[in-house]
Amino acid sequence: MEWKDYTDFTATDFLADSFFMEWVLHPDEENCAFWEAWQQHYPEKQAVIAAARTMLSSLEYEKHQMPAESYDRIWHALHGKMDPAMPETMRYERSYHHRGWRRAAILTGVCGLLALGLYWLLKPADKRAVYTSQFGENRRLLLPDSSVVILGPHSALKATAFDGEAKTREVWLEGEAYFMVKHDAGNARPFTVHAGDLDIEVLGTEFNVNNYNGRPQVVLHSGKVALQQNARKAARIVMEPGELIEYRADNDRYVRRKVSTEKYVAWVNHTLVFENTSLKEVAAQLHHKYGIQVQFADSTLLQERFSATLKQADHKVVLRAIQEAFSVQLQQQDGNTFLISR
Amino acid sequence: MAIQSGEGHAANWQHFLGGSREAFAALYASFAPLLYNYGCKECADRRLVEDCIQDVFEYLLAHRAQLSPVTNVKAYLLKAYRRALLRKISNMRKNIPVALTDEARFEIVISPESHLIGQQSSLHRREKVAAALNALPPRMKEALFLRFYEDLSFEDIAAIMEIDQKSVYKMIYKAFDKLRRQLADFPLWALLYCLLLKP
Repeated sequence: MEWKDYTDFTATDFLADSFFMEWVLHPDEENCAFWEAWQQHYPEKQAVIAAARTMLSSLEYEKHQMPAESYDRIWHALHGKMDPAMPETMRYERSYHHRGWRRAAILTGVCGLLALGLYWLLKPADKRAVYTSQFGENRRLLLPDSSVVILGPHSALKATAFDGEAKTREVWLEGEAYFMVKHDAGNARPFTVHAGDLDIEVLGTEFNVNNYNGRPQVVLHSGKVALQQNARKAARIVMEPGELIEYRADNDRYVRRKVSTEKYVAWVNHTLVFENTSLKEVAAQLHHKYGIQVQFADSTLLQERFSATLKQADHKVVLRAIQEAFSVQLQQQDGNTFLISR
Repeated sequence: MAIQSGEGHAANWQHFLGGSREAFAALYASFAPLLYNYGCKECADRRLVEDCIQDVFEYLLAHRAQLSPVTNVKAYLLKAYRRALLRKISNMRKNIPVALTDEARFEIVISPESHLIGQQSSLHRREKVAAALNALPPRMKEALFLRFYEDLSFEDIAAIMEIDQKSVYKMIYKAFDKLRRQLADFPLWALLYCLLLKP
């Protein structure tokens, strides 16, 4: 800071001074120390300072919040204009996230390098729009066809351009999302969700897809969807409302059962539901959705079963509930790591 | 959203020039809402405000190879955006009248929070100050907004508003001088009261 003699300053002079402004608008230790000491030194100046402060703090402006629909619409449009030379990257990296892509890459490798070369030569520019959400954040997306997607925390959705000429509507999901797909007249443009190894063909409907851990799980709320393993386009499984299907790539099997769908879509309203869930699984969910690490001092804790319905929940609420339910100690190790011990 | 420092934006800008979509996405996330807020203060036509945001970012994508590094991304984008918006407004005015915010441009408001926390006397004074400020010409109010809300230097404001730095300084000084006179008739105790109230 350059040295200035403030003793002759009028209120107006103070207002034009950057250091003074910094103190009023962004007080920190350094500027507070200076200005407090200065006022002690020149008590007769306190009134002038107060006047200047009043003026500055009177400057309030209405904040115009950009509507989420506009934000997404423009972002979607910008994607179509991106230079194909710009490599596609996600805003965040999670190693297991890309398992699906890696597997696809290995498969392509088996088909031969020639095929790969051809694929890259003929591949159209990636014009997919990417929507991402932060840890702990749910985002409501309005796709160009008026379908609504509620994107769960720390998730990403890529979408092809759904414009006039498009023959299909395709999206790729990492993480979790609830879909309310707009039915297309005469089913002219099918809507497909790609989740890891699974393709979900939508026939106008509401359903939840969870693909946080590379084991895509689909819960159908209403309507009809058909699932297909995407590498081997063989069996096509048609789901009924109220069903849950999880695909396990390691043994190429579908697990199918009847569920109450509310439990699986409660996250849309920031409610977390646990039903006889192991603490190991709870920790994994908190890691996916809030980016935190939960460590257990005692491995027997991992198998403890936890049941709770937590409204307006985030990781802190869940951890506090666990602490009370099992009478355990909870310690925050650093910003993102928590230790649970008996 | 995480608050990003000026250096963070400059680094994102640099990575975007190098072809990173990720950096472009970060710039969009940081500045589209900021430009929207600014645009709404300049012009009441939301469609126009949004179209210009798209134009500015499309321009960046199309001219990535020709763009050079910038230190203050916020000032750069505000300048480009203001130009795009004013050009569009003047083009449209030739054909059909555009709903401009005009007198209400860069209006100073008293937030509901200050109604809640403010003592009656302090609130009254702030209303008086706001009224005095709102009577200033829109350009003066715009300079105040850029200086005190967007935290930009006199140099950046001069570049954005396409006037010389001296005029910016003069405008802001004049605005405050007017305020000072407005406030001159307040008793000392009231001013001290305000000092104690404000953090």
